[in-house]
Amino acid sequence: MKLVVDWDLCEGHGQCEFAAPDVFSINDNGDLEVLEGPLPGSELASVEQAVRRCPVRALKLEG
Amino acid sequence: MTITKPDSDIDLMDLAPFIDGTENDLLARLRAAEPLHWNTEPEGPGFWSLTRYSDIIEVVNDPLTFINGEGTQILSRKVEGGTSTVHNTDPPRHGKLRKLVTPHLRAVKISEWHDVIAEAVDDILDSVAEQNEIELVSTVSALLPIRVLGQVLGVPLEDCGLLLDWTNRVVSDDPEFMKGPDEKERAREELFGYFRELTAKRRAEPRNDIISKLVAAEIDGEPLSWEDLAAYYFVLVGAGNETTRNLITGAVLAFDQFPDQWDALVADHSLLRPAIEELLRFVTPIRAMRRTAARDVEWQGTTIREGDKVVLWFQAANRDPEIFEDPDALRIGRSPNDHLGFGWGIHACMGSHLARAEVTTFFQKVLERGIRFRPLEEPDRLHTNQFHAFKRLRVAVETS
Repeated sequence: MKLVVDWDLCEGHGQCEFAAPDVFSINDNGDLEVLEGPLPGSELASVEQAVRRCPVRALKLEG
Repeated sequence: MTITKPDSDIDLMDLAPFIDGTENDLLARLRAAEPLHWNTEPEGPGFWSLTRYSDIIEVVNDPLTFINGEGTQILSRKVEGGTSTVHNTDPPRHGKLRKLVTPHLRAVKISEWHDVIAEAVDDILDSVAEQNEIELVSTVSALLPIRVLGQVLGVPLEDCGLLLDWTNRVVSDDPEFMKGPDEKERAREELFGYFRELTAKRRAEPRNDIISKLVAAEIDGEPLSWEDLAAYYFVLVGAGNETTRNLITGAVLAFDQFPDQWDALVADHSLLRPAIEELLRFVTPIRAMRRTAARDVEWQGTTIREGDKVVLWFQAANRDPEIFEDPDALRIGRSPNDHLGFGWGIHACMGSHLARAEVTTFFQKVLERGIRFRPLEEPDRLHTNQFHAFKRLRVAVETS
């Protein structure tokens, strides 16, 4: 599975960080930072939750 | 204004069902039979109501068509006066304003406030632990959010009581809090006067609080004007105060209605995280938010005209059986739980992580102390259709 961020939509709401803090973080400028590299399988459930809970639908899981 | 308005005997401006706690039946009828409903207003142009989850998601995902800039209250007004706040601002300015504060309210940053929250909860529970009976709202629910939010903003602990009094008077339309016709204006002036002084102090000596961040912030190279700052403080205080307190009171009532769910939580404290999400769904402290159509929109065979008010009933969406199985039941383990308790879309709640932290810490400590609050009578609800808000609730304090 590949995580795709639509950077035009993301506004740094941070619900993803709440759901999967090891994958997502909002920096001090309010911008999202995402864990680099392939998603660890152990994170899949929490990343799925992050995708569902993004209020601006900026996240997608593909593949 | 539209030409064809569907007939319906349901009037959401009649506050009686919201005061006696039967509003979910009313909202369910609308959601099933008339998901786009025209409501007249005694002193206003009227408004559309949306009650289905999918419809509300569609509207909030189109913030250029359904705008916030004309106000978010059901009534045609902006509670903070003429200045536009982050929630009454549309893109592109909205995102810039929002980003000034969101980094400081993110989940990880909120954990830095854990000690402040824990101390507030301990003080509050210490003060009620020895009593058999308390009035929950004034001794518990109302005290926690204002004390935490005040300190996150930068208000000294000893002034947090003042904040509570001002926000009660400015935000509420309930006759009980209004001592006279000019009360709202006077409270607003006092509140803004206080913040003007505090702003000057934080400008001179910044600290790790939101006021210090906002006075130093810039949008497109320009610092925020006093009006922008004041509006921002106002929305943060109002939103943080009027919501979390009602989630706490509403949660106590919900657990009384579904005692097996409290028993389940007592047996397994790790259910607290999904339980808080379920309480956000079940209680829905903000019942509704309003948008305004920026152009004519064809909607399910009806035309919503440019300028029409469109009210999104999050409370109805949160009990939409298309989305939630057995929606009228509190199920603390509910998963998935894509509730709209914090709204949705670009204007979704900025303080969600703070609210979660406060309510989670509160119930964690209630559980650890073996406390159970048992309502002794029906709550006294605030006279408003927009907030699921409680003025008073007498409860017994049981300790196991």
